[in-house]
Amino acid sequence: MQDERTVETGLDELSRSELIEALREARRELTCAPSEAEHSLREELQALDRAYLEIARALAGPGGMEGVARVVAEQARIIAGAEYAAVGLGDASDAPFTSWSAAGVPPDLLQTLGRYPRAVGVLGQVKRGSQPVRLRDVRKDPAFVGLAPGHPELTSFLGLQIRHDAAVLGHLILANKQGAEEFTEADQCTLMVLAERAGIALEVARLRQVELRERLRLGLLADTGRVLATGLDADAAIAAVVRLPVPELADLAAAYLLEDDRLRLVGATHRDPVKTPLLTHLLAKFDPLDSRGSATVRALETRRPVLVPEYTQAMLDAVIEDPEARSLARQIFTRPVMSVMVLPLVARGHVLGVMACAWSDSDRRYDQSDLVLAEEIVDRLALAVDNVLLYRRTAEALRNRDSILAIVAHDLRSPLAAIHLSADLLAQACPPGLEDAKKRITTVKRSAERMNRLIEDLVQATLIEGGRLALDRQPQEARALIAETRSTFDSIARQKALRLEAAVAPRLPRVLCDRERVLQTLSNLVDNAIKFAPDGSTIVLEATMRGAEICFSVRDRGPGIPLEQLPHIFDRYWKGVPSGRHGPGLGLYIAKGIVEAHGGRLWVESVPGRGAAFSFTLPAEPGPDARS
Amino acid sequence: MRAGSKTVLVVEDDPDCLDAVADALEASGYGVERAVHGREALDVLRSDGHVDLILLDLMMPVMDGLEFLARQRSDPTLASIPVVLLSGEATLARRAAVLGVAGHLRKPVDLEALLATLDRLVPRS
Repeated sequence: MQDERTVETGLDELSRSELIEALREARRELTCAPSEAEHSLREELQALDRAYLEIARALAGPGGMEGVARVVAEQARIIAGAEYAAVGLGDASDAPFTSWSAAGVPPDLLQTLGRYPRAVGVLGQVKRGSQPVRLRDVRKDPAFVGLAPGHPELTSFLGLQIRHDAAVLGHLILANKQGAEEFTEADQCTLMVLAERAGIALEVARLRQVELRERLRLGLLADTGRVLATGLDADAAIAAVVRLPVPELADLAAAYLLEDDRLRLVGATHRDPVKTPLLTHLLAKFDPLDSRGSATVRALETRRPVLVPEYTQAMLDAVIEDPEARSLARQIFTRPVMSVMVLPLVARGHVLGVMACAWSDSDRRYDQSDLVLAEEIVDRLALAVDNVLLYRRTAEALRNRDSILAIVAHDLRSPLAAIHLSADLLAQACPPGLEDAKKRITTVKRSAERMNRLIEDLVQATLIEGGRLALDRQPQEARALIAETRSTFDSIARQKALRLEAAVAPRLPRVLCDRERVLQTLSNLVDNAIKFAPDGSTIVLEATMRGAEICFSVRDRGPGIPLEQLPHIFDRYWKGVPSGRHGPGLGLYIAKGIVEAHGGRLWVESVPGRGAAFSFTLPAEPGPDARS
Repeated sequence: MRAGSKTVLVVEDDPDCLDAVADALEASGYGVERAVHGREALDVLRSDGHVDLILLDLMMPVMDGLEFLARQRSDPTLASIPVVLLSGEATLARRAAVLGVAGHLRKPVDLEALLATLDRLVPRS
């Protein structure tokens, strides 16, 4: 609806009175008899009227500027009585036409000709100059440079600008006046009136195209962002992004990643789903890097996007040499001339790959604005791919580190076993009275045990860090967990004359947890408390209900934790203990990791000089009413 | 090999660990056969008389513990010998449960635990 209103606004200006006035003015100098002139004027008026109606219809259709241009060409051909007519879009320079719409030329001949005519010779004069060019025989003009092979013969010729305000939007070309030797001045005048209206219609279509383009751009960029935000797989990201430009910005698109100086096809897509597998098959057959001087090679070498507005069969054949691949290419690329953009994926100064877009089935040509838009998409893609590759490399390095750690940890256990057993055997064989030797043997054993614990801690901390800690969750009694922890530390506590007290709330539901891991957590906390508790003091192990969770606490009467150390005590590499006697201090880090893997929380409350309380929560077993 | 004593085949590629385990078992009254990988263990079992229990490491060159276990179990003359895994693997308990072996000892093991497991499965005399 919106669009039709735009159309009306554009053609409001085409009022009849204005039109008649324009025609009168155009005819003022003509020397016709008044009645004859009146009659001829009426006919022309009717023809122009029909033309305007057709142009208005084209403007309401989905064809954009090209759709309007096609209708303008056809209507101009009818009005001027020409065999052929064409509208070439483009400015008043010798740059190539951005579009070429011909009328009167059989469609299959157009297909064969393929390329748009170049703005050289007579056509170049029309395109660059502001004055109409009217010729009796174009072939005799000194500027004539010949016609493309297969092009229909041309004799009489008329070319003029299509303008809107000061801007040149395109050119109207007519050839071979029917029933006369040449186009008349009257033809020229009528067509100038038509061209003026065509200018308005084209400008409206252009503005709408600009608006649609901006909408497309925002949509594409939003889609690109969405696609790139979804995962950490470079191939998947590229394959998804390759689909986005089709069909609004390309008939087909393909992307490659540069790996070991080769291009690996990662994704290819065609607007015709049947052709997508064919295209993938074709592109996988050869590496574009093998054809020197190809658009892809240029894009990679210059690290700049390459625009080939008209990509001919010959250019394609230079890249695809294999006859079988060529015949496959003919099936996929139905037009003799394609339009191609090749954009390198560059991030942080590195070329990561390349993406190519092509109009292969529609008679469309890329221009600078398409390149800019595609560049915006590709830049985002490059950044995302770079992130993925960095992530992958980092993850790989971490995996390597972890697997080396696991192997080392495993391999260290055999010599440790030898030390343990040998120390036990030595102690057994040690005759009574050699207390000194026995003490040394005990030291050997204790050191081996500590070494083993350090290895265990290191392995476990690594699992926690990588989020790979496996849990075997079963319902457990809180009271039993606390009782078992107390018995583990029974003898050690007795040595320091410490009391280990249990305070378990009545009727607690069971805890859903990995028994061994939670015992380890409690042990780490109690072990830590024992280190700091003054001789003769009490350490309390508590279990209470806290919402839907069970809260365990270990309270000691030690010196507490200095305020400046509090934020760091759960860090992996932090060690609050002044002497190096207690290892790398992974205990609290591991305890926190285990609790968090259960979905719980571990924290500390400490009053310097009065002790510390470490607490953690674990999910309670859901009650019978909670199950559904 | 002392008459009447039980014989344990220790399969372990770390020579010090093999020595220490074998010495500990011999000092405790077990007869001991040694092998440094699965293939040698099969040779020992097929050539040499009677073995009451196999103490088996998992990661070994030539033939690892898992392959040895598969072959031992598919040989009807050997299948009934109980196997105890002796390994440093982090998830040894789960592995032992899956494999359905008679027992498992995680390295580093001390003398007390080693003898307790063996006594349970093959009491010395």
